[in-house]
Amino acid sequence: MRIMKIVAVAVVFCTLNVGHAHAQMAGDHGVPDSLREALHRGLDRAQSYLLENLTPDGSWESNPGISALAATAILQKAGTSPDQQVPRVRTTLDYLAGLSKPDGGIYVRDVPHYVTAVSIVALANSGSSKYESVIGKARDYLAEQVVDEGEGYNVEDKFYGGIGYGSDLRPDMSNLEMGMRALKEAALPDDHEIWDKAIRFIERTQNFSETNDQEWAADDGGFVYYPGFTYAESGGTASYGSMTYAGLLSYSYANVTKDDDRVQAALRWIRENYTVDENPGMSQKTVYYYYLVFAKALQTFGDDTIVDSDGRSHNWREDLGRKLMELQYPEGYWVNATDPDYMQDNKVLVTAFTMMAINHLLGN
Amino acid sequence: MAMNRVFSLVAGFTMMALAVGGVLAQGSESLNDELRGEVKAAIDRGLGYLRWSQAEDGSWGANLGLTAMALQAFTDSHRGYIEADGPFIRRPLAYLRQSQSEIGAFVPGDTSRLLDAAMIRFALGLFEDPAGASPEVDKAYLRMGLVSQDQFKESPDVFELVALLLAEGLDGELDPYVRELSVLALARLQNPSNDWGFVRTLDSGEVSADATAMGLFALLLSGVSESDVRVQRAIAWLGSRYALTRKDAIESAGFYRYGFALANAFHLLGRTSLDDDQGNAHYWRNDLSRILADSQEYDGRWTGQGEEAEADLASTFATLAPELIYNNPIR
Repeated sequence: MRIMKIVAVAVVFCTLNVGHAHAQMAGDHGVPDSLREALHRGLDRAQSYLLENLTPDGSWESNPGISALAATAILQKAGTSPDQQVPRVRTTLDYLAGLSKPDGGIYVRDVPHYVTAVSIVALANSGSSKYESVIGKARDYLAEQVVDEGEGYNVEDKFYGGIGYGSDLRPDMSNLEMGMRALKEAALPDDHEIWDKAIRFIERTQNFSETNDQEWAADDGGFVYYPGFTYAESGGTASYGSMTYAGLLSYSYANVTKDDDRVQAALRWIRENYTVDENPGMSQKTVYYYYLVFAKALQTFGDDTIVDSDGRSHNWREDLGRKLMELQYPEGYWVNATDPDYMQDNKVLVTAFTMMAINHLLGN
Repeated sequence: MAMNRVFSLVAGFTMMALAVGGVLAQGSESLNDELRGEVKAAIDRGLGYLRWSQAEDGSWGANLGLTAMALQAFTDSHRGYIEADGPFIRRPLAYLRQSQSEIGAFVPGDTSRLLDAAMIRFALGLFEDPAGASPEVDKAYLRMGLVSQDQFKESPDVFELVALLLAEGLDGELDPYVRELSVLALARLQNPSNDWGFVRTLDSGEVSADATAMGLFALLLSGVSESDVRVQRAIAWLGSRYALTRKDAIESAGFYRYGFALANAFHLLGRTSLDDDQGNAHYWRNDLSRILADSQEYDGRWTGQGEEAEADLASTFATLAPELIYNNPIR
């Protein structure tokens, strides 16, 4: 493992140095052309790795969730078009569509909400009318899973407006972010009542007492996993990185704008905890998921640069891009073998997350 | 909080069993990671089904006993669901509390709803301080019923006896007179002409695996030690007719109750295996986990035979049993 890491770093440095020699110029968003080129090459290697591991039935590892994420990563690959990419994952898209259940969900058995959400995103990114019917049913299914009056919850319930995996009966911010993203991709109208319901849940996961009515709410602007619970290493109800970026993204899906106090509070936390070296508050746990929501959220809300709490200005695209190139293995994948509890030791899953992060930082 | 209560309750009974002679078995077999993952997923699916099948009023089938047990399945799970988690917990609690008030208004001496009272007391005890939270149906009421109920004296039911003992022993102590009475009742239900297996009631006549497992559980709850001949014979009966590795066993009436009772009894004994007539050791934790994972239906329910054709009942037993295994891993 250690040898592979050294090789990976060496390859990346060689790549960057070569690029450095002929392309010191800053490209779009201040990302040097050399880095941009390296990122595209990294995406090529990652795509090759994924496609080498695609099985004949269209799945990766017979896992619909991982398959949907990998397909999305390929479909969104920066610098490509759907015409180029859809044929590469056609079998995956058909595999996912084939999992559509009478209730409209797309899943095999476990974590049905999550799998339906990521499948919607994959199918929608194909741009193919072939899947419209499946997407429409899945959208209705997913919207139905948001906990509200239909399940006996009322607006005072701390979980009101949330959505969970479908295994744990408690909603959480991570699933809400993915679910809302799917509903957005499936063109749920902006005036649908679900967005307002979701805002209640988002508010109740944010350490921002001006809008969070839970007793524990602090005021750093960051987010926890679900109301009253955090995975942050410091415990209590401490904010941490991946959920804060997920929360920020969720506000955007719910049509909350950048000038809103809740968004500004989250951006303040981000400035004060800016890093691409870890998932702040959780060290290396779920760090690749952190990279994904980091890139997606900052692409959506952020400026090209983030000024941290010490007044230093960071081009987040450049910082993240260099970090991800440093972490890629020569075979094209990314992995965090030290984090099996969160499946970050799964190369396909982590590579899909990372490809999507790069796609976002490159502007896709 | 609820999880801690359950653990302390089980721990209390375990200590009670050990104090009267039980010895933790040395042999053990832990679940491998894959099966442990399957068990966890099966529990989640089982709870998902139970949530789906829950009636609008929070009950399951307007049945107090079943509602109490199903609620326990949620609170005992690795998720440790509590009231704040939503109406799927709040509603059954309200249903039980309302029923408790109604039962509490009964004329003293009316023990016709003794079992309901016991089940409610046990379920609410998972959420509340058992010493002070059940004023309408208190321990004295249960004890009075247990001692005076003619039906119980004349025609004891081993399943009802387990419920009463669980409710009676919520605070970890069993009244000596209650213990004596329950042991006497169990003696009448253990059949010497059929290898000392148990019948459910005197009227039922047939020795069965689920009644024998429940009988063993009840003996242990009553403080009878592992070295006692009645316990030894019940263990031997269950070993010689061990069914957790037989795929056709799920076609037997009461199979899921059998699994539930066997798991509880052997957990109290601290034994991870039991021997069949040939001396082969059977590791019930693995076997029960495997057969439950394999027999679960697609939507998370289990459906059995007899009373367990009612999926809510089968699913409640089949969720509670693996929870015990999952929450108490062998290190």
